[in-house]
Parts: sequence; structure tokens; C-alpha cells
Amino acid sequence: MTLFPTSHDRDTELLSAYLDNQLSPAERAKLERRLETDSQLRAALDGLRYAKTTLGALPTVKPPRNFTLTPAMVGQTTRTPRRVSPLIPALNWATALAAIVLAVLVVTERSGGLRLETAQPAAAPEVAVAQESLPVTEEDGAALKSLTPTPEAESLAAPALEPSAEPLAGESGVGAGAGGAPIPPSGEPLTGVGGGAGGAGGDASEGVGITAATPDVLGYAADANAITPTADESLRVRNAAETATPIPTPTPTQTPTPTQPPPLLFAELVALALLIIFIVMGLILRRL
Amino acid sequence: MDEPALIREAQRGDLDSFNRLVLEYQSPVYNVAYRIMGEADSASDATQEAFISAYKNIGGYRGGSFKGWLMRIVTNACYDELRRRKRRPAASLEALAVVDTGPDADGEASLVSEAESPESHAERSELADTIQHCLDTLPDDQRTAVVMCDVQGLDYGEIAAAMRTALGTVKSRIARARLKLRDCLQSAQELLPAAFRLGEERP
Repeated sequence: MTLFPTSHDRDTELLSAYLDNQLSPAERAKLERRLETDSQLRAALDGLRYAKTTLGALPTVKPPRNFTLTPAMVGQTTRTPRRVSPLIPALNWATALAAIVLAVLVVTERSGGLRLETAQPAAAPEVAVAQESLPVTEEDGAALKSLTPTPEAESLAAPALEPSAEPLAGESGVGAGAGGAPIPPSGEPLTGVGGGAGGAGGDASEGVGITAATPDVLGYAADANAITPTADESLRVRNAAETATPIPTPTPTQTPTPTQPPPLLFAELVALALLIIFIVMGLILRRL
Repeated sequence: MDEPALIREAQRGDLDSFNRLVLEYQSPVYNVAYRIMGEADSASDATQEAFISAYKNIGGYRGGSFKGWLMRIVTNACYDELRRRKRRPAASLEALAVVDTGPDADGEASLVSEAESPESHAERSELADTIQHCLDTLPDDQRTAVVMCDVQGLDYGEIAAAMRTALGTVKSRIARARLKLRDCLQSAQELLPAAFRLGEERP
């Protein structure tokens, strides 16, 4: 025997919805009129209300923990706007600029090196001639005399010659002594020669002898003795040198070495260092 | 709590705002999951999955009852887990073993106040166990509908939205669930506290 008689499915739905106040006013009024006269329907309603009331008596279960989310749970590393250092854009531009400057410097340097190499054949014979004439002997003195020093070479030689030439200009007897005495071909020191000229001229001729001790300078020194006995004559020599056609002479800076690449200039090194620094700083800032 | 503002902020990706909504609704969401799943661990997993899914899909929320929207998500999470259990019976047996550990392990002990007597605590535990047992005998869709209605107090429209079904279907599921619960409770009268036995005075 069941305490609650089963009812029709339609009535069960009506009674359940009645309990939940989900019927329209017309349905509700009609059902209430039936409940007044139908005891089985009332018993069915009591059974459903019992189930509803008992289920509602279920205690609320306290959650064992909080269910708040962490960024890792929802993979929010991509959603959260990442704080980007404001220096990174500036570093990007600086890196690009340093790279461009470095490239321009390298290209310019290399093209300059090519120009030197292409200009080299024109200057090379004269350089070769000049280099061949470097081991000067006394017999080549005349040929060397014909070589007028370039202004650059004169500027290099003048400081060495003039200090010795000026004292010579004051000593009238030295020029005769030096000119009268034959210059030894072996390039012996001229102290012995100066000694014959007198005590006063000995010091001066000793100075000349020291500068003329090496064979390659000997001829030039003899030339200097010949053409710069006085200050006026040294001026004339200088004027003549300026008016003469300059002949390219080998200088340390103009000596090309075609087989070696051009060395990095200071500016290139600076640009390269800046480029490396900017790249490293950029990497560090992006890692932070 | 300004719920619409929090929802808007959460839709913009503000996790803190969403977490305030979580704190507000985690109890009803967890309770629905607990009553559907029948044990604490699966209910916790389903609740967590539901909130994660809710956050990821909150852009699709278009107004209406936010609680009902959350209930739909947690219901789906529970259904997914129940379907997995049916495919893997071993997992279901493990869950039953967890249920057998008693209500204390499921968190209901936290409801017991210090002043409650041991007898009262035992009665409440028996009532909860018997009701949960009867709920577990229901089909998933009926259990879900009746829990949302009678335990969480959602109206038929919210339940229909949560279960993505017609209002008439919800009405039918709840009615049939109550009918089966009535029969189940009737057969377990001796396990119920005196106040919940048929023929006794109702509280």
C-alpha cells in the first residue's frame, strides 16, 4: 500500500508547477477547484510537497576551498599587457642607426682603399725610382741634388737642417772649411774636417758632421751646405722649392699595402662598439 | 557588489573583478555540483572547471541571470564528468569509495556548529545521506533540474536556460524527479529524522 496514490503525468506536472507557482492564474484557479473535490489529488500534492520540502532541507555544503582563478589557470600571460620598457624603441632606433653608420663607414673605407689601389700604378714608378735612389752614394749626389724636396719633405727636413744651418751662417770660416775639405766617400764624421777649420768652427762643423753621418743624408747635407750658406739663400731655396714642380715622394702615410685590408678606423670601432652595446642592452631589457 | 560592473570588467580581461564574482557565487555553484556529482572531489573539479570556462567565455554572456548562466556552465561540466564516468566505470567506483568515507570528508562537517549536539549532528548527517542517496537514483537531467529548483531556488526559466532546454521539459523533469524522490524517501522512512518521517509532525 502506498501512502500517495500515483496520479496522471499531466496532473503531476500541474501539481509540481503549482507548488513552484509556475501556473497561469487560469490554470491555478482550475486546479484549486479540482483539489477541493479530489482527495487523491490532494494526497498527490502532499507527496510532492513533502519531496520538495525535504530536498530543500538539504544543508548547504560549504565549499572546501576558494575557486578564485589565477592567471596561470586561464593562461592570462598573453592577456595581461606586458610591461615593455620605454627604452626598447629608442634602443631599436639606436641599434639601427649604429648599424647604418658602421655600414657606411666600412663601405666608404673599402671604396677608398680601391681608389688607392687604382691610383697606385701611376705613382708606383716614381715611388720605385725614389726608393731605388734611397741608398745614395757620393756619386749619386748630383742626381739627388736635382731632386727638389717637396714642400712636405721640406717641412720634414727643415727643422733638422735649419738649427744646424743658422749657426753655420754666422761662422764665415766654416763654409770655406767645409767647402774646401773633401767629403770622405765613406761618410766619416766631419769632426776632423771641422777641426782643421778652427776651434770656433769645430763645434759647428761637428754638428753638421753628425747630421751628415749617414750616407743617405750626406748628399742632402752637402747640398744644404752648398745652397744654404746664409739665411737669404735658405729663403731662396725654399722659394725655389715652392715654385718647383712637386714630385710625389714616398711618405709613410702614402705607402699603400694592397694585399692588406684597410684597418678599421676609430669611427668604425666606435660604431661597432655602440652597435654591440645597443644589441646587448636590448636583449637584457627584453628578458626583464 | 555591482554585478554588472564586475561583469563588464571581467569581459575586458580583469581577473580580479571576475574573482569577486567567483567569491559571490562559488557556494551555489559548488552545491549544485556537489548534489549532481554526489561527492566532494568531483564537485570541486567541476566547480573549478566551470569557473575557468566561465572566465574564458564571459565575452559570450549577453545579460540575463548571471547565476543561471554560471549554473548552466557548471551543469555542463558535471555532465561531461558523468559521461566520462560512464565510459570508465573504474572511475565511478573510486568516486563511490570516496562518498563512503562519510559526510565529514565531503565538507558538511563544516556546517556543524560547536553548540550542536552529537545527536543533532548525526540526524543531519542521516538526512543528508538519505536525500543524497535518493538524488543519486535519479537520471542526470532530472537530478540537475530538481536540485537547481529545490536546492538553489532557480525559477523554471533560469533552469531552462541553464539546461538549454524548453520550459515544458523542465517542468516535466522536475515533476518526475519529485515523484521518484517521494517514493525513495517513503521507502527510507526509518533512516530519516523524526521530523521528516511521514505521519509525524512536520517542522
